[in-house]
Formats: sequence, structure tokens, C-alpha cells
Amino acid sequence: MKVLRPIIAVIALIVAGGVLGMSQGTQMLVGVILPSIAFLVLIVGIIRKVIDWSKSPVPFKIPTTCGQAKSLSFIKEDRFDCPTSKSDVIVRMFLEIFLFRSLFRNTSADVKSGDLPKLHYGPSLWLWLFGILFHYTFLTIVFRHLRLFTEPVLPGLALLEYLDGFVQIGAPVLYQSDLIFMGAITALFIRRLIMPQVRYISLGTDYFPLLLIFAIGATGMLMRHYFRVDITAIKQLTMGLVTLNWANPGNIHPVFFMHVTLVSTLMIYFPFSKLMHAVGIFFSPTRNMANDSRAKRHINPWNDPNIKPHSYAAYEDEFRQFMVDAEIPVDKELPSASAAETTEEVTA
Amino acid sequence: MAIPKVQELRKAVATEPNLFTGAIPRKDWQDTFTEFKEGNFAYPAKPEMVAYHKFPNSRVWSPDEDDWKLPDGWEDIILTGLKERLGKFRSLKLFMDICVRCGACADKCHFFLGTGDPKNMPVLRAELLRSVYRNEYSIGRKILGKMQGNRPMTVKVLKEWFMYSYQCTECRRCSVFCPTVSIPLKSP
Repeated sequence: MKVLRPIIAVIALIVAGGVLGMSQGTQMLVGVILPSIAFLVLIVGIIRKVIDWSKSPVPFKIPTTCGQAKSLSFIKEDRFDCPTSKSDVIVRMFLEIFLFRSLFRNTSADVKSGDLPKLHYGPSLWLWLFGILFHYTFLTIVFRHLRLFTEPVLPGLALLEYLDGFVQIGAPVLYQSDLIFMGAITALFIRRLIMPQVRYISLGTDYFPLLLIFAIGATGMLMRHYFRVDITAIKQLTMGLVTLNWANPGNIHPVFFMHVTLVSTLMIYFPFSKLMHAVGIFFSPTRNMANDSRAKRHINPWNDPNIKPHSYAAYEDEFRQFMVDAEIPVDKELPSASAAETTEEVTA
Repeated sequence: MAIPKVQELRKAVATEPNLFTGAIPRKDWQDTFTEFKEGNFAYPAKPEMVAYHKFPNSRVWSPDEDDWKLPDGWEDIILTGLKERLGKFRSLKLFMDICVRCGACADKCHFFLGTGDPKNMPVLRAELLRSVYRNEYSIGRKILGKMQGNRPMTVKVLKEWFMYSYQCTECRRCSVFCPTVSIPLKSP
């Protein structure tokens, strides 16, 4: 089972975080030093990767065209599926990044039974739904955490928290984003387990981030609703991280250190894994290029000078005999026998 | 293989995972290897045609033979070729790194719908190359090797590449549905 190793890894991390979070001495290690290093790894790792990608050129215009290109005036152009201008590309990228448009298009092929089984294609929006819910609630949760890293607290955060806790269940208020987040990540995980195709392609490294993020959410919710950890002490610690004025106020529950260990692991893991799709999507040449290769010349920087152009005339010169034999029309006829004779006479 | 009837095909196409071998794969894709049988592979070019195009190693060979008469040090040739192409194409580098294996492309490929062979899912077809890429370039390969599904470059992997690269028309339908990028397969 490919899912076994990731489960063991995540449990090991939880245990490690909990154990190290129990004594004053090691709390400094997992609560302060680890997240500081992890944050550094995250930033440096992303920058390194971006530089690495930027070093490779994009030799060809390869936007994915999903609609009618700009053509004659009476042919309707599909601006955002086959963008020809920069502004249309920006709209396309916006729809892609903020609304997951490609995933929204998702269809599934299945068989409708009947007298004759019939191949049927229909829309399939579950992946889009859980994907977008997961990403947006994750973003909301990250924003909410800024409360711990800013003093005075960023304006707007109070409003966000109010809206997020709008249904006002329990005290402290249960955030809707937490619930949706946990639901969506569970759905994404179960999807990998039960869909035969997806299970077949899934690797340990696909399950690991899902489990890790699930554990982060779970420890976070436990901290808020079950253990009721000392939030002022935590804020003292987190503000210490931001201001580089490291402090451990003590009296923080070990579950906090579990949470921090898991988050740090995620930050360290991020730049070296598929999670880099968050950054990579901006670089994707199939989405961020305009389909204007007929209007603007695209230069290939490493164009191989040894590859010479082969004109049609040269091609025909090379294969004229074969073409005539196969009755393919040619621009220039073979030198006919009589024509050859006349030239001979002239030269004679 | 007998020619299947339309009715059988209609059913098989979407319900049975593998029309070629007639069996649902029980093993992981890393442990399932390609079988070359008369009629299921692309014939190689004639030696004189290979030579005409100034491609190296022109020879008489057939994919269904065990010995492909590969040149000495072919692993190095492939890995150097891969490295060179990573430097030449941002697309390749990017797509090797950021595929999330969500499977949205899987049932979009007409080769997958037609054959039911799981290695014809675009994501897995690219994964055949990606597993070798990660084995060479991934930073965590020493620790995460098994978890990442990495593989060294072997003849079996090469044979897989041959089989499945030619079962792609580069129509890029997978790319239309891909939430992050497109993954057209380029074979070194």
C-alpha cells in the first residue's frame, strides 16, 4: 500500500512534535528554531526553483488553444480560450488561477447501460468543487493566522473573522472555513483511494501532503476547541518569531508544538515537491502565452544552425523522379527525352 | 487478437481497464512491463532512412526482439539528452516538477479510452519519464526514492517509453483539461 508510508511519516511527525513540545528546553527547538529554518527554506527554495525555471527558454509558441482563434471578421473569436492579445491572456490566467477554469471544464467518460452499453461523456465537477473549496479555505485560514504575526492586528482581519464565524456556533466561534477545509481535504484524500484510475497513478508523495495538511487542520482545530491553549502566550512566541526577538513564554500546550512541527514540515517540503504548482502555474507556457505566432515572430534562442531550411523547390528537385512515378503533380517537369535532345543539338 | 465487435468495444472501452492484455493490472505500474506483440507496436524506420536523416545508430531491429541493439552507453546518451532538453525547454522542466497527478487528464485521452491501458492516461504516460527525471534530479530522492516512485533508467523503462510515446498523437486534449499545465510527452 502506497498510502502506508505517508501515514507513518505523518504520525511520526505528530509524535515528535508532541514529545519535543513537552519540556521547556526542547520547546525552543520545535517552537522557534524549526519554524524559522522552515520559513527560510520555503522562501529560498521557491526563489531557487523560479530561477531554475527561468533559465530555460521557451523556444516555441505553445499556448493550448481551446477555441476559435482570431480569424476573419465574420468568424466569432473565442477570446479567452484562444487569446491573441496580452490582455486576453491576463484574463485567461486570472480565470485559471482564481476560478480553476480548466478543472471546471472537466468531463468524465462512463458507460450508460441499456440494450447496448453506450459511452457517455458528462460534466464532472467534484474535483473542481473540492479543489476550489480546499484552496480558498486554506487561503482564508492563512490570512486569519496573520493575527498572530502582526501587532497591531492587520485591518480587515476582524471583519474576515466575523464573516468566517457568521453562523456563530460554539465558543470560541466555530469557523466555517475550518469545517469546509477539513471536509474538502478529506474528500480529496478519499477520492485518491476510491477512484481506481486515480489510485493507480497516486504515489506516496501524493498522499503525504494531503495527510500532512489534514493533520495540520486537525491539530489547529483541537487547539482552538478542545485544549483551549493559551493564546496570549502563543502570540508572544509568534511575535518573537517575526521580530527576531525569540522568546518562549512557557505554559504552552504540547499540541501547539505538534501543529508547528507539521506546518514547518509543510514549508520545508513545499519547494521540493509537486506543491510548487502554486508557483509554477504562473510560468506555464501553455497558458501564459498569446496565440499570435502569425502576427508576431517568436524567436527560438537556440535555433540549431546546422538544420538548414528545406524549400519545396529543393524537395521537389530531390524527389521529382519518385513523384512523377507516383503521379504526384510537380511544379517543374522532368527534363523530357526530346528536350534533352534539342539542348544537345543547340550545344552541338 | 481477433477484431472485436462494436458491441464488445462499446462496453470494453469504458469499463475494462486493459483491452490489450485483457486483464485488470494487479501490480503497480512500476512493476508492469510492456509486451511487444505483432500488431501492437510501431515499426522502426529502415536503416537507410535513419541514415538519410543523419540520425545515429541506424540498424535493422524490431521492438518485439529482446535485443534492441542499443549503442554502448545508451543510458548516458539518454540522460545527457534529457539534461540538454531540460535546459532548452522551460515547458519540460516545469511539467516534470509540478504535475499534481489529479487525474483530470486521464479519461480525456482517446488512446486511454480506446485501449483502456492505464499507461495511456496522459498523467501516467508522462510519469514514465518523470520517474526517471526524479531519480536523477529530485532533491529528496535519497530519502523519498520509494515514496516518489522513482526508477533508474533501464531497458525495460526504455521499452515502455517506446511503446507509449508512439501511442500519443500530441493532440494536447489532456492539456485543455489540465488545471496546472499541459503535459505533452516528448521522448528523447
